[in-house]
Amino acid sequence: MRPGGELATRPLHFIWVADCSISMKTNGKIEALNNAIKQTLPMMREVANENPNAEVLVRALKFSSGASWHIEDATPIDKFNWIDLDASGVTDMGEAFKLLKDALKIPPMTERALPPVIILLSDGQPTDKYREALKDLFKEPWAVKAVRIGIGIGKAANKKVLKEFINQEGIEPLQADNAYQLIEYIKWASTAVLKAASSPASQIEVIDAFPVNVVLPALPDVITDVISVEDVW
Amino acid sequence: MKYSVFSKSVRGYSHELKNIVNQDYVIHKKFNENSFGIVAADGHGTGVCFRSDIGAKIISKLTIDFFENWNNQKISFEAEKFPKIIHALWMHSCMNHLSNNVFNYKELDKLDNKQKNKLRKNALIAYGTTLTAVYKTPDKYYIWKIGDGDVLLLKDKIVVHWEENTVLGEETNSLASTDASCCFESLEIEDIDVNAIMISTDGYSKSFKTKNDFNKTIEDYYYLINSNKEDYIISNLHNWLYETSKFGSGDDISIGVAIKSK
Repeated sequence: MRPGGELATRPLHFIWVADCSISMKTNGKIEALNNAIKQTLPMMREVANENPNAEVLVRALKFSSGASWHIEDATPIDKFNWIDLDASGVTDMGEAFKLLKDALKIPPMTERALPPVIILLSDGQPTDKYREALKDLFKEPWAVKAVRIGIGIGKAANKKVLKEFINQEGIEPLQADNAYQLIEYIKWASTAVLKAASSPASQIEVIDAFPVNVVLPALPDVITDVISVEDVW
Repeated sequence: MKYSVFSKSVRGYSHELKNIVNQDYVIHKKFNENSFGIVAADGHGTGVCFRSDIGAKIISKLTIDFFENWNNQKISFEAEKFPKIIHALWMHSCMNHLSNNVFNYKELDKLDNKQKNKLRKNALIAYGTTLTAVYKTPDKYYIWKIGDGDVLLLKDKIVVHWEENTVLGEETNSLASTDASCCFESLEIEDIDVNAIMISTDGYSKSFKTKNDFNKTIEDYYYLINSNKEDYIISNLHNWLYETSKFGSGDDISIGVAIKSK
């Protein structure tokens, strides 16, 4: 008999938080987002397979007029399939933060989890009182410890809001001005960042003398000069 | 009263896959029938902490020697001064190691400029480690820790997980920080209140599904020892810990256990 109870790999929650307001319909932004996530799923699976001791669980939140779970169950990456998002309504980002807060509570989260990865994607600015909800979200310890990435889609995206969500010195929101850039950033967030977050404690980096949660890997070099003007959001 | 004391460290499963050395170190020593020391250290790992396995070994050996000197009364016993003294000794030993083994190109080539700057500011980061230590006198347990090591106590039939501050994620305090001696947590407990004690690096607790699953470890070791199965433990411990890492956290696992036998 092996001493102790049931063993388990450490869960790593990966959450997409996607803006589905009506403006996402213009210039094919929502299609580009759907395609980008679908394209990167095989790469996410590869990364997850490289570290069998982390159980990557994926789900998705959407917000427009209100917010709801698009894919509610935390699904193992091997079984995760992307369901295309559609766009309509306004940008109730604060409502999404409220749902996120509930998801990051202990329980349902456990103390032994790896730091969650949360990717916020938006092309506009919130139409609700997002700041209050964001302040509330940061009362949850796992929200503070999470790796938070903000990707602005198109030039109208409010980078200040994304920066407030990231809330970490030295990490800036990413700006995707076309479908190619969006794919590259989503690929980076769902592979390089996932890889960094899923490494065991003894493979992490230190800041000053203290080991920290996750140090973000270098950003991809996104080539912009091959994109025609019409493709720019 | 008889005490069974044992310890073991295994390389993490994910470290094996990535060909990374075990960065933990564990050691125990019985000084006499009723006194012993157990020490476990968890080196921070790769990147800029490329000598953390050495840092963990240095602190473990220094601490057990320190306890032995206390026990032999070669130095006066002042529990409250332990963090300051052991931290100073560790820094001194690491600096000695460094002066005899300066950072080489092979080590530095793997670092980016940001990491090299960190090392320039504080070379001891390369040796960064946690420490969890138990010193047992005939009538008391003295426990210290800096970082995320775990301490389980079996009191009567109840398991107590000694936690001062639970830190989520992978953050931890480190001996490599200049004010490390202020970050130590300490506990004194009467021998009469404790049936068993286990210290472990965080790779062990993070391998179990729930806290109760982890707490069960000390109960099981207690049961085995009191069923006269110490040899069975010793011959299986490596495999058990390896299995725990493989199907759990993937991290290095080190444990040190002391159990009162009936």
